[in-house]
Amino acid sequence: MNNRGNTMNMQSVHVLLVEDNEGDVRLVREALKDGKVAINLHAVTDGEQAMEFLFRKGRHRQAVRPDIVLLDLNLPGKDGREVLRDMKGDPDLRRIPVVVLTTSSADEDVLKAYNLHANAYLTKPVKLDDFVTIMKSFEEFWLTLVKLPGR
Amino acid sequence: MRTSLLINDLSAARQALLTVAILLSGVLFPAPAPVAAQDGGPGVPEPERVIAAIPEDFPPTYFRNEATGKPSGFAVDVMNEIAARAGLKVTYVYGRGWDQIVGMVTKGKADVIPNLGISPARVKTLAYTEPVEVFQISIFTRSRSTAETLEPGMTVAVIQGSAAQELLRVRPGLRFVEYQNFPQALFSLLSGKVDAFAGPANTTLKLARDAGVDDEIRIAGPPLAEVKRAMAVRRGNEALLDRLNRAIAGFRTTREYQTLYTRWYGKPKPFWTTGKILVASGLFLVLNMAAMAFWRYRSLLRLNAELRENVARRMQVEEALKKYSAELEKSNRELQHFAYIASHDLQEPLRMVSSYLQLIGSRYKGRLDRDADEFIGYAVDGALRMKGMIEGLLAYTRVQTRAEPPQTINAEEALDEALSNLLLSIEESGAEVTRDKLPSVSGDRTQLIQLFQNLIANALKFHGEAKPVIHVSAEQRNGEGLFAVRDNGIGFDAQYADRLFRMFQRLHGKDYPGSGIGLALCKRIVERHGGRIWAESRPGRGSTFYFTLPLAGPERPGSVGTDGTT
Repeated sequence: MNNRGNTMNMQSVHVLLVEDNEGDVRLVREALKDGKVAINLHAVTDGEQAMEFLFRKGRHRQAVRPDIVLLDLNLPGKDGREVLRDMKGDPDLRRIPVVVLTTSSADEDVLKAYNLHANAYLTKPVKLDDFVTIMKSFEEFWLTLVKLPGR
Repeated sequence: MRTSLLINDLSAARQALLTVAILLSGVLFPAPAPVAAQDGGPGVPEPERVIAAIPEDFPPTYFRNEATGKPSGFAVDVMNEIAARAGLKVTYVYGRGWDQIVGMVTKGKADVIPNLGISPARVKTLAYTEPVEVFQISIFTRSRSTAETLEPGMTVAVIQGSAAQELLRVRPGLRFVEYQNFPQALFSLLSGKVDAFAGPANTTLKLARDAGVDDEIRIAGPPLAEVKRAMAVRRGNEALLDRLNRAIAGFRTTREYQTLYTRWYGKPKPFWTTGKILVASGLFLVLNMAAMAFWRYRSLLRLNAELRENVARRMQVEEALKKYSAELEKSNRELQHFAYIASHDLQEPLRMVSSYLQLIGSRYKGRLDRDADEFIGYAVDGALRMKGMIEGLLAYTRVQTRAEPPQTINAEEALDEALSNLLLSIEESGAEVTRDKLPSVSGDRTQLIQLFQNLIANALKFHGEAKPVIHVSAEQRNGEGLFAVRDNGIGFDAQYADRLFRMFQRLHGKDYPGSGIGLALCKRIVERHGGRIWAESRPGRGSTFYFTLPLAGPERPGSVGTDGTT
């Protein structure tokens, strides 16, 4: 009944990108621009905004529920780990997959993210080609192959 | 002159007079009329039998023993002893007063008067043997008194008619109280009624001892006079005198005489009485204990001071250690924080630089000239190398911050794991890696794998024309494991051997790319394990990297029980 894999092509997928670095937001946009999937990329720059977006509060009252979240860990104010914890602690939001996308390759960060029930952990590579490849892989896997829960 | 009154300075006549007075003083008590003693009555003197005339109540010299009724006293005992030695038998008669007694002898009613004081007056009618008794007339005061002589204004007790009274009569400023006998005079002195008593030393002391008050009195100064007593016979009775004198000569100096004397006059209390010994021992003990207590107190004080000092010093050290420990912990936390900053915050801008340069490169391909691509290439390469260095730094700090407590590691397994991590490069280079049997060591597993991995990677990287041939061996030396990683690579100039292990130091150019962190990391790992690392090489002849690691307990050679087996 909920065969999103098939409906993907018709409806756009909503991706919430939580990322304080405008450069990275742009890189993600560039990397996902010419994909097979119509992606609606919503970017917020800190943890507070991410929660407002998810709970449709404040200036994000009109926000749509994202199908997946791309989450940077190091954010000003409420950081990515807290967003992850709050999301996974919420009975409604916990089923939205969260893919951590961060510069850190530190083992403790990886471990902590998975302990907080992150669904995947990606490290931003230095080389642009690698970055594009990773984002394409993300799109290919999470937005094409994976069967996501309904909104 | 005070001493002018001593007998030595007196004329013979005066001495005689005084002697008579002393002797008379003893017989002022009423005495019964002459009565024949029990064992003999008055009779004609016979050569073998002598009659001795004595006063009845003049203790302790002469008196009638109340229990037996027999004549007793020092003089009686002396008389008996001398008589026995002279082959005589003595019969006693009592006389009243010295005049009567002397008269009894001069009139032939008695033959001898024992122990009669020698006086010039008596010498006229009596003949004396050698002296049988000498005594002093002394001044007695209470023992608390400090007077050493009689001073004007003092009240002095004397026996009425005694020699002492005669001796002192001429002294000015003295007041006298006369007594009939010794006990009264002594009591008067002790009760404080008089300041002093003058009398015969031996008799007075004997009475005081018997009464238990000898500690209450003392003799002040030198004796006033010395008086002699001897056996007196009728003048002209030379036979008896000779007989007595011979006996006296053999008796005066004997032990028997001393025994008799002591028996009647007593002997001075020995200084070391049981009480005094007890008191003295007690005092000695107390003093000893006090001295030891003091010594102990002093040493305790000293020990306490030392202890306090030690404690203070230890506390200082502990304080310092605590401080250093806290500082170290803080520094470690900061290092960890720095490591995190390096891994994340420093890399993000770096990534921006390289990413956007590359974006420019791809987006504007063909629209920029050929130089632009080259420049972009250099910039991106720089960024990549910088990222490598940052990661190297990070790995370097992690040797410390990610350290784990040492455990027994099988070096062969660690090497195998390192080789499996390097499988790709080994296959690519066609290298041949061999190893001997390796011992177990004590250390951090992750770090040992990294150590082998870095050294093997190094050997793979710096290979020459020929295929890399790498051999890992180990031996046990000085309780340590000495490892060697030998290769057939390009080697290096021995003079740079030290620089090899420094961070970011590279001996070879960009034909052999690297961040210059690998060997620095090896050195840090080995040194953290308490070992050493060094390399030997000659250019073109390959190189050998040596390092030492602590052996794991059970496999340590020549183990003497200090290892993990105990």
